[in-house]
Amino acid sequence: MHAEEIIPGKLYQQLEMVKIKAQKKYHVGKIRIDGIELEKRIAQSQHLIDLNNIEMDREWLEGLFKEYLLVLKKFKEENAEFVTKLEQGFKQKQLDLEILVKKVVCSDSDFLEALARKLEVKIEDLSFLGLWLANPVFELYAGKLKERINPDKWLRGYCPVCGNPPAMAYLRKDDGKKILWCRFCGTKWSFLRLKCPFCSNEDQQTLRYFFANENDPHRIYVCDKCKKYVKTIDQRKRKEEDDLDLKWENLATLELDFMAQREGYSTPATFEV
Amino acid sequence: MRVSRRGFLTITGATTGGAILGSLGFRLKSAGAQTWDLKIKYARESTTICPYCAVGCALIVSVSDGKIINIEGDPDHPINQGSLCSKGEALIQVANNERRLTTVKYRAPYSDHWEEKSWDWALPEMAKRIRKTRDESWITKDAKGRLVNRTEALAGLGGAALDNEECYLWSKLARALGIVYLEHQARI
Repeated sequence: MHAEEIIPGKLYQQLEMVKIKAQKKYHVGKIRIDGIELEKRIAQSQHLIDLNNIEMDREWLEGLFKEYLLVLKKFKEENAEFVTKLEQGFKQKQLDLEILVKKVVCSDSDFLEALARKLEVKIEDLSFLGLWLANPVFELYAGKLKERINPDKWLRGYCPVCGNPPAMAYLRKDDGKKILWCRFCGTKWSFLRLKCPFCSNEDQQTLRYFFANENDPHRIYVCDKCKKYVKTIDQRKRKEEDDLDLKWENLATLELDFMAQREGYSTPATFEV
Repeated sequence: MRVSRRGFLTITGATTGGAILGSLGFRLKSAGAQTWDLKIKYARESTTICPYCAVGCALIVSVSDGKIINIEGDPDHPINQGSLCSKGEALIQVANNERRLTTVKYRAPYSDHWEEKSWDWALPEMAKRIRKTRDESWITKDAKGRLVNRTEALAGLGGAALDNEECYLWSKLARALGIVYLEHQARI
């Protein structure tokens, strides 16, 4: 699948515009970070955000939620029911947006399944919305925290900001370095080319990748020890000059996830239902 | 392809079951696009060191179906951090090169063309001519009467593409033949 043949649809673009507009309005002062706590976490190689210690701007979150629903309502018919159920759930206080965001970032599938059942919506759609609510907040957090860590020196298989496993990777244009990407906060960090980010396996006999065509920039790195995979784009083979939009690429390369699953691999970026 | 929800629910919510996915506007430009329905191939990457100069740049070699498909600098190695010189960049041609000769080519003295010869002819012929040149040019004692046992009509040249063991054998053979003009590309 060539990325240049996948064009971000109007819905994606509209959601992005809403998100960017909302981020500009976020009261950055509300991002409270305890400096001493941060230093301790860095020294212990822990990721920086402790979910138990962050406080979100609930009013802002509600505003963003309503804007997203407006956008979804404008598009296809099948979204209408989802939007109605969410609005009802929110009015009846069954849906707490801050909790939804935190549970999505923890990949708490039990909670999300139960909530989806209660709201009578599909878990896929609920978690999609949860991610779009989480993204702008966590990207802002990551923006504030990123100068505290050196992304070229982190070299661990989990996000230095929020601790989540990578959803995708790319091989950097200049030097082919592997850069991992967190879908929650957008943080990118370096990792070793020949190492599994999930189990730290460095045995070159049990690490490999598969591809469809040598000229295709997409490849799936797999580890035969833990049977996990990472979708990867070789930026050096990419025809487009523009920057990689990994959030879009992640959505646009679902076929690769199907392929990896078919080959017997999984990723902590998914959870079983 | 029917995909079960089990094991595949990304937090993006993007599965075939999701309504929003359908709204996201996936659109493939042309039917001729490469798709992943085609057979996939596996490749393995391994690290090695460039065989040429003493800098010792690290490489990542990709092999698929027993064939080298790519050689690139290793971005994680402190020495070269992914970069390679022009010789290193061209290393893949050591493995794969359609210009590589696969038969013996021989140009006779004063001839203006190449002839194809077999290995059965070439190897004994080379041995015969080396021996002849050596015997005809053999110097047992030099002008000052010192025992030298050498030939000045033969020279040997080693190269960085030879490994340590090959270099050892080649230098031993050269010395045994009495060669004193023995050089190596890495020294130059």
